[in-house]
Amino acid sequence: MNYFDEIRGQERAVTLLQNSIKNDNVSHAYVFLGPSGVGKMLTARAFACALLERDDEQAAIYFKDGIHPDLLIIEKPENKTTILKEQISQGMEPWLALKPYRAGKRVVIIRDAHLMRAEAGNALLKTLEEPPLYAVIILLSDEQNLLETIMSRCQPVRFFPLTEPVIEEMLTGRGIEPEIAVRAARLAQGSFGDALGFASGGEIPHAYEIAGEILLALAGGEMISVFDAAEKMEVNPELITGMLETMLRDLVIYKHSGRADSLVLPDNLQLVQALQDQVDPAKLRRALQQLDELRRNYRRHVNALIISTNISYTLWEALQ
Amino acid sequence: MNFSIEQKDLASLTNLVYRAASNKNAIPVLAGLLLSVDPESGLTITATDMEIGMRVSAKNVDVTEPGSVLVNALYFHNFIKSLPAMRINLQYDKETAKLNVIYGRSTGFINTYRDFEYPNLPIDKMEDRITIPQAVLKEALKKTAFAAAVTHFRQVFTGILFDVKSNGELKVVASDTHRLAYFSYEMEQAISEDTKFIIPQRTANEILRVLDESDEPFKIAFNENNVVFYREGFLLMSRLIEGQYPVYEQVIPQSFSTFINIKTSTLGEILERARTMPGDDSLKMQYIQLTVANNELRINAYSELMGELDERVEEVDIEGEQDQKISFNTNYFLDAVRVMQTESEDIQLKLSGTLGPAMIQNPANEKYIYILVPLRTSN
Repeated sequence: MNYFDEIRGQERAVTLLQNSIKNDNVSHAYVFLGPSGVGKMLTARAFACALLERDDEQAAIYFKDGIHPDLLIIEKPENKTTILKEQISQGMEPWLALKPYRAGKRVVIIRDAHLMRAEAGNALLKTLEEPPLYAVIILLSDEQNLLETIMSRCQPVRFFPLTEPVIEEMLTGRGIEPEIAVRAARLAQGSFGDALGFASGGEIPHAYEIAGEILLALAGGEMISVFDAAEKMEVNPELITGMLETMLRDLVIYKHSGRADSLVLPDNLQLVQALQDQVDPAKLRRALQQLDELRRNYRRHVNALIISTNISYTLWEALQ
Repeated sequence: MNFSIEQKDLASLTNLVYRAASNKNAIPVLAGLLLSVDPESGLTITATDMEIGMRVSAKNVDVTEPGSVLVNALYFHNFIKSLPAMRINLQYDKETAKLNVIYGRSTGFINTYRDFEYPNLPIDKMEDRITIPQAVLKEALKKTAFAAAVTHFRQVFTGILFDVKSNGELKVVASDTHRLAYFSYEMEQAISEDTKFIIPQRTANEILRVLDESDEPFKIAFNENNVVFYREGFLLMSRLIEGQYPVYEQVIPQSFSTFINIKTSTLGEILERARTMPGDDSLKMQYIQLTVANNELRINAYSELMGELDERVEEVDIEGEQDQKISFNTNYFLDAVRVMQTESEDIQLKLSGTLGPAMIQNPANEKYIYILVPLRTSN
């Protein structure tokens, strides 16, 4: 069985990993680097299955349930915001000290490795410096914030944002209405995970409505409307911010070209026409950049309402 | 599948293996016992989780129809255990996928897993057998396994080392770096080359459960990753611990300054009393201090919180240097004394200075050595 079949749009990574198995040139540690929701975990699982299956003919019995005696997946505990040092020193280390049970390798996948703090990173370093021969450690990281000493001991494998058609196809493949799929794919900025979240939550139309209201309110409002806007965003801050971003972009584009067919979201036309007299493209472009930086904070340990307030304020200022 | 067996025989088989089945429900089939019957090999029961695997078999069954079923380990064991002692008949009904159990004029049934796939125990390519009497293996593990660390950043210390020399010497060693238990045995056969492997503590405890005092031979086979302990009708497979075990011989002192002989029971009682003293804040463990002076031995346990115990040991025989004070972890000391209590009236304690490792031994048996590292205390 080819476990890599399900992976879309990451041909480079997949080829590299498949070749390393074929040429028996598997590294003891990898870092899968790339935005969230583009297939890092799926690829890591596929790679692990392919590696373990080489020596364990009956590996499929275990994989059916997503586990294997020689596969360990480390994830951030549900009620925590980081990967804990104990998960490395008391979870992974003793596990790796036991020799393989059925396969020739033992694979550890550390999901969201970017959530490791320095202590956990240093604990991991101890193993990375002297891994057992049979160990394969795969770190999945959404951000490039791993310790330099960790990076230098791992083979990097890059993952890229998916193209919109690929995301659309994957969404429709899961039975999502083509119309919603198109919109979700546009808003997700290359992340299938986000696209799926947007599309299956059924929130897109509602969120779109809110985003439009927020923009209009900010454009015509006093500074106090910033707080109103931020509170409205609480429904789904990331999705609404994504929508606000496309709206700003469309505003800039329409201002320059005046063409309705170059809009990211065709639905934006009415809004764009309503606002275009009062926008300054230079200001908007600056706001867009700030927005992009601010929205990343939703994934960190920052109060979402504070980020939303900042975003609203940036928008308000840009629209004056 | 259809076979008959005595209830007590089946219950003792399931009692051996059911614990090897997984109690986490991650993979449903691993919570099961695989029962297979066949007129030639009789009944075989297999259980495995993610760590160890066990297989037991019995010939004293009447097989009417061969076959195999997978049943939930815990329920099956509890059910069989509770049946009256009599010959019982087990029949698999293909249509309902139930295993009917007929005992006397009563019947019960157990649901089975349909169309299951059960993983084999990965025990092919095993070689390098060594054979030792069951009683010796039992003694070796019982006297050493407890000394291994429960957790240690050097994982080899959580296991028990089997160090097999080509001339037939077998050494079984466990240590948590504060103490070391060492058992040696001369095997009757030589092996092709020196070999070492480290088994996890859980494996040692599981084997201890099945061993008895007989001289029946027990065999050990291993490959790169796994080890198998087996005898007629029983097999236990376990993973090995990776890593280089430190050179333990260096830890065993060769010369001593003071030799103390005490009655094992006397020392045991004193240590039990000393154990009632809680550890204090500076040293978070319970400890005793031994004072050797004027051909007398005093044992002192002090707790700021609780009080103090000061014992003069009667019937003690001291040779060598006097005027020594040395402190030990009470529980670690007691562990050794408990081992000795089963075999010797006297216990020998050899000291090599206040901070040098001490050796505890049965004076009549040099096969077993317990090394205890003293504590550094302020007084």
